Amino acid sequence: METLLQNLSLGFSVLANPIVLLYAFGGVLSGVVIGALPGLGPSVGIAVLLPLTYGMEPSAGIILLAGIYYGAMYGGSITAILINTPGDSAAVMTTLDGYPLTLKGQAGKALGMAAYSSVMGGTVSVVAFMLFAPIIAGYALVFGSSEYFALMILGLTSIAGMTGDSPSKGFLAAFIGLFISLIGLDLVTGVQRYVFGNVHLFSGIDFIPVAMGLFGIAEIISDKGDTKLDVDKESLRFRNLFPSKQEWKECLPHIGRGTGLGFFVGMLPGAGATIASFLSYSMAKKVSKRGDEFGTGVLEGVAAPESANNAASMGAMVPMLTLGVPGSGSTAIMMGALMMLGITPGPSLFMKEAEVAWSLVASMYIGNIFLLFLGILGLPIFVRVLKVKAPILNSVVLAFILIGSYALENSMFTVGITIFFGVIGYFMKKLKVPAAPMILAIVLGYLTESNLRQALIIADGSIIGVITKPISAVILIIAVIMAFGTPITEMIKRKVSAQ
Amino acid sequence: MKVKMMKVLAMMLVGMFIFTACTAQAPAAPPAEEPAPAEEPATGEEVAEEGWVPEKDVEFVIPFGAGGGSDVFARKIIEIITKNNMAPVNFVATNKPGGSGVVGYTYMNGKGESNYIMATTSSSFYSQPLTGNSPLDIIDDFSFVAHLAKDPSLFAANKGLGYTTLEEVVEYVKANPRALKYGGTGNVSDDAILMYMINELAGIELVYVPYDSGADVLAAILGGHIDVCAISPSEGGEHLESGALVPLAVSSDDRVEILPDVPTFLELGYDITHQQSRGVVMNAGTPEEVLDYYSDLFQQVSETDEWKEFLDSNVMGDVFYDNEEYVEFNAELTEKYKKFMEMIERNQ
Repeated sequence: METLLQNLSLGFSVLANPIVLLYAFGGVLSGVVIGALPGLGPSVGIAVLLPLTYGMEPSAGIILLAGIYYGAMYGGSITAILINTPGDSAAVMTTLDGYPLTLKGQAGKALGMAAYSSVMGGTVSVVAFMLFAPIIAGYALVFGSSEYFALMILGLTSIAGMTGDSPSKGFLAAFIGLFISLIGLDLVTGVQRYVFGNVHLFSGIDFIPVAMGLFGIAEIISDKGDTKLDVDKESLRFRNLFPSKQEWKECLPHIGRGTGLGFFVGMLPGAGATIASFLSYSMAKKVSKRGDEFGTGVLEGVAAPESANNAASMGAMVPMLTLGVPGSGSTAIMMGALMMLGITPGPSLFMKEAEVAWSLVASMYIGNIFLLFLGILGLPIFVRVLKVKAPILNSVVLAFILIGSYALENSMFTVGITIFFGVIGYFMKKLKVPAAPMILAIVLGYLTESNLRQALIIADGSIIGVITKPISAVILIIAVIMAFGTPITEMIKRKVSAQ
Repeated sequence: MKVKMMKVLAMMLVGMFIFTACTAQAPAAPPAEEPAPAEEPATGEEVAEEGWVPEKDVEFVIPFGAGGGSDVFARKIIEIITKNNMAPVNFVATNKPGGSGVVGYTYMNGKGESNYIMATTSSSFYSQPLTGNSPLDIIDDFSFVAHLAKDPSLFAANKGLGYTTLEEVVEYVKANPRALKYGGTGNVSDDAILMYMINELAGIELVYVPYDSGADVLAAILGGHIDVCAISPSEGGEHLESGALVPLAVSSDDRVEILPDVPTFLELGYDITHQQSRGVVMNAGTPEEVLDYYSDLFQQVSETDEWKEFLDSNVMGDVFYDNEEYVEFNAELTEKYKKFMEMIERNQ
């Protein structure tokens, strides 16, 4: 404990330098702004601003990048709540209840709750990060391909909670998503699948342009310019950003669970914030007393995914820093940046580069405080955006989406994909087919397949060998319970009452 | 009262934005403005005095995403050229990821004959066309500017396996065919080639498990999910030191500096030298004098101390070929890859 405090004070001593503090603040602020732009998430933000760190002190550089990272994680929720356009995939779940809250005139409360739950999820996770990082990280490696396969199946079952009014429409969307995830070169044999000779399709369809199209463009096309952007100004008054006592009581348990789940899932390589927020939302829906009302604008539906995605962003740094194994796209880019700054993440990082490692931990405490201030004090500015007339705002948003999709791969092809899925998304909206299951299926489909196939090769082709590994088996059983638990209990209930 | 508060808030926010604007500019400025303490006299322009000299900015295509091996490689070259004022024009990096490099090369090809666009090469420059996943021809569709580095692979085992030499692993697999799983990046990659070469020359049967990235391979072997793997020596660094990974052999011609105790395959009696080749190519039909100019420029880059430090820290071999040597080397390497691809196909 004493050494822990010593280490932490070493970290804070680096932050005593006002320039470093400024980097932390600048990182968080630019992160929030970038995260709030439709389609631009943490990984794009870090990648775009990476050149700024050239020539910086390593500790200053990593503090700046980390600030962008969790700032963007929160920023994604702002547009998700206000205009139903997630800034990145981790904010997709926030749209489900955040936007309906805006429609009900409670945008302020939703944004406030998003800020509080993000900051709480983040802060608690920093403590967990500091205390458990070296210990917990050892377990991350226990997860091999078969365990990941099971985890992905668990993720896919959360589709059951996202289907809206019609389960068949939800699963229709999910299967289209799974199909899309099959496009590209086969990972094991290199065979071309559904690419029709188009080289841009070889590496598959990235879910970011799809998400930008399905959520962003479809929203803009179907916008009749009527009521949607008239947010009740009164609800955004400073005072209204604070949820009531009753609402705190309802949300706190979800924040707690979301934080724990998010931190754990974030630590698993490859899982990350998106899956954490998906899982947290569906768990909250299951656990909450008013689970049926989820999707119609309940505050818990914002608190659960927002606490989870910020907790996951902290969790994802554990395997990256302690093992040199990044847990997500964003941390992979951060790791590249660290190596560029001359620091190799790995088991000895906390010993050899103690100053860098601990100043990062210290900066995360301060950064979360910055985040809270920005979330509350900066909101009036973000809300100003809503007072702009719909046609103007829509064209600005559309421009951001198109620029964002171009910037992903510096290619007009991704812009085309975005527009294509924008049109598809419009028809899905008209036909009331939910888009979230499709995105989840695209994200998880590829991971499910590649992990299953790796697991099968390792198990010499035996599926029994894959699903009977202890951890996989437990996760798969949980998945089955999650998927079929409700219908089976209802069936039993009906039988019992029939007798 | 409320109006007042709004004003205060607005002021604060404006302040914040200015703040960030400043932070955003401050770090970016030094590398751009700093005249660079020229370690060597800037000879770039003078050397090429009577030949061709570029008159506008050069587009440097990186056929992979930001942060990867090709990206770091290309940006280092550009950094050295800019810092030391080696060229009268700017080199502008463009990332064109997708299709394992194919998107980037077809993008360059689409620009037609141009003296102002070039791209980096890596192993997929060879593997994609040869597996029928690229419309371009390795020899006919490109001009070869300069070859700059080779990346060796490290063949390593999980500590839990209990073997410390290649021979022990070979003996074990001979007795238990297909018992050991070998992890590598990609399905038709240098890692796969290395394994099939080992299989063929040692007469054993390792089983190939393809992963998406070197980081995934590392996670799998550290977790004991696979038994042996191919990784780059720089990636394995930390884990080799801690003993979690046991190095067995390197695929370079000579031992690598950071792993002085690890033998090469050649030393162990296996005729295996296979390294990823990194160079710079342009479109076919680029005039000889243009190639000469760029080749000289990259030679200057390769002679700087910064470049040598960069190669050392990334465990890349310093192998420079000028435009004429590169053409020959490319023809040889293409033949070699053709053989490898047939080998992989036979095994699939």
